[in-house]
Amino acid sequence: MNTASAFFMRDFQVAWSYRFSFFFQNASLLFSVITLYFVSGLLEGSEIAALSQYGGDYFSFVLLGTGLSLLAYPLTKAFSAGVRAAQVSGTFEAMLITRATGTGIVISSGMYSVAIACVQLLLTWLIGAVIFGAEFRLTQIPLLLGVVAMTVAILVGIGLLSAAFVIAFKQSEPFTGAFVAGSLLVSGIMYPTSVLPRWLEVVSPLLPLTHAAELSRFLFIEGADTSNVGMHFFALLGFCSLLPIGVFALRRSLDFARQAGSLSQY
Amino acid sequence: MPEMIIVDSVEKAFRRQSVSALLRRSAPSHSVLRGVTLEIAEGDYLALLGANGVGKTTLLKAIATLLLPDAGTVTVLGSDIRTDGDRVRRNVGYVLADERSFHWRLTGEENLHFFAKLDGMAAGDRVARARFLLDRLDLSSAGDRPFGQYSTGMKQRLAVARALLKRPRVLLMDEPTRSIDPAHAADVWRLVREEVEAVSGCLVLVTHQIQEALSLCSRVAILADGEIALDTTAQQMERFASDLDGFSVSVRGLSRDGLIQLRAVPGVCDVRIASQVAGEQVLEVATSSGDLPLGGFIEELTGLGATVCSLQRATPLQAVVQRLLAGTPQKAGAA
Repeated sequence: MNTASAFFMRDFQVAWSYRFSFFFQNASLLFSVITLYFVSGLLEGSEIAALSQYGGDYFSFVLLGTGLSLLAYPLTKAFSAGVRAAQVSGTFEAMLITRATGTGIVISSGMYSVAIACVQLLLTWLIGAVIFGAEFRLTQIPLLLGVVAMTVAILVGIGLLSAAFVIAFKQSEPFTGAFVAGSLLVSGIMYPTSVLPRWLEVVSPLLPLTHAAELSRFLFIEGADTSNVGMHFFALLGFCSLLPIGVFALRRSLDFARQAGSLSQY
Repeated sequence: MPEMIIVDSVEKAFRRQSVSALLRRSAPSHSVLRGVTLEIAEGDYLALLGANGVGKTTLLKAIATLLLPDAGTVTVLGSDIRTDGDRVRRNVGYVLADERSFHWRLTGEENLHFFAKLDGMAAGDRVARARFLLDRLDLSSAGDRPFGQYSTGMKQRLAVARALLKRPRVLLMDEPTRSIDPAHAADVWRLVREEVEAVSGCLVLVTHQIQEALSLCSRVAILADGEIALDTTAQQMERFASDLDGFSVSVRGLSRDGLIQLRAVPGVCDVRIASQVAGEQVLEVATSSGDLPLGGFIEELTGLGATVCSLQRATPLQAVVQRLLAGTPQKAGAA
């Protein structure tokens, strides 16, 4: 806990030192929700078959998908960026000679970004529901938070794999960027996966965000079909194994870098 | 006195590290430590000397668990660095050679609190200890200023404060006063002595300044060719250095052939390149005691087309090391 709170306090202090950005970083969220609201207005009143299983309301559909996509980039990049920044500034070795474990240091170095991304996700949904009247089943909030927690665990796992790569090979990896871009394309963030060509639609179940988006919509949108909830839940649960795999890879990469003498190299 | 650090037959080679090299497994390697054995006891103040690149920092990093040897063992207060790193790190304070190793947007005091928290120090102790160390190192008035605004010397003093935070019994210092002015360097050494004595600890100091090594340390070890070539007392070293004097000079644009002409300047016993970074060479010049032929030397340098960047009086480390390894207090030029 000491390690996590030290990093949280450090990152808050650094963010606070950029006060203008600190106060205005959430303003863009409001503009994004307003944009989605007006775009959804174009489709109001039209019967779109692809949206029928989600209750037919595009604003609620896209709001849930966009909210989850806000997690993708920060969570998969936070840990490798934390390691890289520490290596460049020379603080990585200084931290590793404290009593904190290497794994704890790397995980804690990304937790502020994770927390900010989660707050932004919840704010996006809250603004959509309270100000713009998204049609949500409010009784399902605990289940929705469970989906968010599983999604966070999966994305953190991918982020730790990315950090492990940076530590072991002293260079940033291209996979998480491709993962995020691919997810935005085929995970049904802005549109249902059923509108994709068949060859792309078969790829979408291979990405965890597909199941997170589907599950959150089936559980939370008023009037959505709940018959496929189980399948998406178990798929998402399976993807959660990425978290322990990420922790294991991170440990191995730190051992490898200690042996290679490359902890501070970048 | 009980042994606090035992380095036994440690070997370390560095391999080229890349994805392709990893797959080939037979990547070319550069051997740095070739069977280093060293014991450091409670109360020892050991200066670790040697030329650039001989593995002094590598050895310190191994003791601090930042690097694992390929062969041999390192134990600190009975704990093996490989199997019991956590226990080792509880007892080790390390002043890294890189004084930039702080968070630049945080103040000096916030930086110390951050590292103290990682070391598991309680809140009250953290605050009191940070203030005490800032005060002793003449940084209390700068404690609330962002680290990015510190001068190089202030950054190095803060690095010393960080290493002392947890009251370590084993203190490792890698050129800790390189950019600190003499008055503040004296403050650092006074504090270090008090802290080491208070916890019945030991100090391992890597330095290129002979005067610093002699004034602080009771023991001197010389690392050469990947091994401890000599482990002796400071008094012995002083005897070998007593008739040597010299200066170090940073230059640009000097060719290797120029060294031969510089060695021929009257009053100069020897000239060596101590380091070379980004086109700037640091020359270590050995002269006879009390005879500094500065005018003739600089005239020769400029005649060779070199530009002098800085110059300071310093006993030539490499000349003393050569004498020590040879075993006789002979003239530097003959070493």
